[in-house]
Amino acid sequence: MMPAALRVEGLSKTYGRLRALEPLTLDIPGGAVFALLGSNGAGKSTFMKSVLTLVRPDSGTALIGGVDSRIPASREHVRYLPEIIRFPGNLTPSVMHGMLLRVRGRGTQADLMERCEQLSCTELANRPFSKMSRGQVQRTALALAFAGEPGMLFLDEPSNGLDPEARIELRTMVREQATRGSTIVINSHLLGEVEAVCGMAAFMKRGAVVASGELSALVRHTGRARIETPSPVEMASFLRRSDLEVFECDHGIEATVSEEAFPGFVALAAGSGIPFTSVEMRRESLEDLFVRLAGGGAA
Amino acid sequence: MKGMAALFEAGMKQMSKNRLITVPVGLALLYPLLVTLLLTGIRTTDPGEAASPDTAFGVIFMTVPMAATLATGFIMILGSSLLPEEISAGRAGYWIAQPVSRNSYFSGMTAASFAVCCVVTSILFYGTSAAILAFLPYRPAAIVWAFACPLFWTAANLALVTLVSLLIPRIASIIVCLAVAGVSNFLGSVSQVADAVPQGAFSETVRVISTAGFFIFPADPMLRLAMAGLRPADSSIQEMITSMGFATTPPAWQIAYAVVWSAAVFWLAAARFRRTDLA
Repeated sequence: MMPAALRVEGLSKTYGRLRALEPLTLDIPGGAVFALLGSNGAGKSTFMKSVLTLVRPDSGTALIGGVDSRIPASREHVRYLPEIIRFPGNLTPSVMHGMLLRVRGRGTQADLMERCEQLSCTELANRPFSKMSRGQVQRTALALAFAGEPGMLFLDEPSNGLDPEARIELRTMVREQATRGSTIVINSHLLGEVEAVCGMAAFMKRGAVVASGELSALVRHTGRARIETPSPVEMASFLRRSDLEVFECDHGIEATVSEEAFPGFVALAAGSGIPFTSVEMRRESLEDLFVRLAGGGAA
Repeated sequence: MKGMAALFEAGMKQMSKNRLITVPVGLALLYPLLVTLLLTGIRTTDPGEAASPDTAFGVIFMTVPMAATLATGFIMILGSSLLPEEISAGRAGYWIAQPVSRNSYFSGMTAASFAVCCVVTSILFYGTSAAILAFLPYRPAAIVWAFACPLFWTAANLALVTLVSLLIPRIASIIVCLAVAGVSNFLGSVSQVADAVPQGAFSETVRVISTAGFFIFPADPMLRLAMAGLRPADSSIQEMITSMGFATTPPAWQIAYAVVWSAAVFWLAAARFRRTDLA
């Protein structure tokens, strides 16, 4: 694993009496596609905004590439896509990009066109924002965020307003960018999208991180094993003879088996002489994981 | 401050095609044209009267305060909407997530709005002044003041509304700033009268309040100074009010105070912006 691209230590934020972020410590390794998951009001957007100094944290620090995020230079390679932004209606994405280039002091206009091509929105590059639909604005906002070689991307609900085709293009772009070494932090409620692109996640609840790490390590076994077989009835009756609780399902059976007993279960099925195509321990879906870790309502 | 120039340019680009800006600028152009029409009428109907410095005095007295009122309205609307609108639209946060400091962002955007306000002020004040000077042949008392003071006046008004708009909601900030400008103008008149009458003939409390009004919001003397600079040096009306004891030109230190006051209020607004959560 690469060293932390983002290190957050004791970051906390209070809005009046509302504790939006409990003192929060988190490392996001370089090259990771990291999801922030939680119910509405869990503190995901506040976390992003605190890291980027858009809100003033009460305590704690955020280091981007080892540099305090309060120092503007730390954000030289950072891109941010807010959940809600109204670009000046009279400007076009090209003009907006030109202004961003002046501020960043690097990059070219061609960077934007390259991303617009990937997101199938080249014809929008020179159209005023006021003449675009919500989804078109979101496409061009994504193109602006990915233009150039961002070292770190903060995407707050990036799929908002996108049609299915654009969502597929976004997923492809996120994966490609991660392979180029960018660290991508995504805040999204669309678990399917998250599952498709994110390798790591932090689950937030009432301003605190309740679990974080590799998604594959966070999901639990469900205590059920699944066998795909063309003969589910025969397989079920065979396994029931060994006092196993067995349920028939589409294209196979499921049996209640602990993780420790799983190797014995596989050997038992193999010795049955009944053909089967696969056998696996069933794991939680991301939705199950979300409900277990971050469920329980808004803050 | 890295990025300030780029943000100034960004601010100018945003405003250059914004109807909230372009429509009032277009309307502002009409005012000097209307003044020109008025002056054409005066010159056509009575060329002898048009040559009199007193006529110039009267026209200045009629038209410049109106130009100031229009400019005040524009400055209040633009100044109260710029930063609050940038924050609520998410644009301020978008820019600050770039490698720029809040100070650079504030300075760039405020400089852009000051530049736009100066354009409007120039159209209204200089356009009106140019029309008067072109149609009525007279010698202004101090043309340099007539040209410099409207800019100081603009800075003071914009500084006030920028700060207040970061503290209270937009409409409330316009109302508060217009009230402050109105009261300041009234106190400025009271102060002039108080200075003209003999000591003891005017309540000391009123004298203190009117002086305090200047220190709280020093825009009004800049307007008076601009008008004084534009007025004819040899008008009989001017001689009469001077003989009555009215100071025709506020002291120069007032300009210095107005400049320092504007800079301090802009600094306070920047400090407030640095502490604002862009949620």
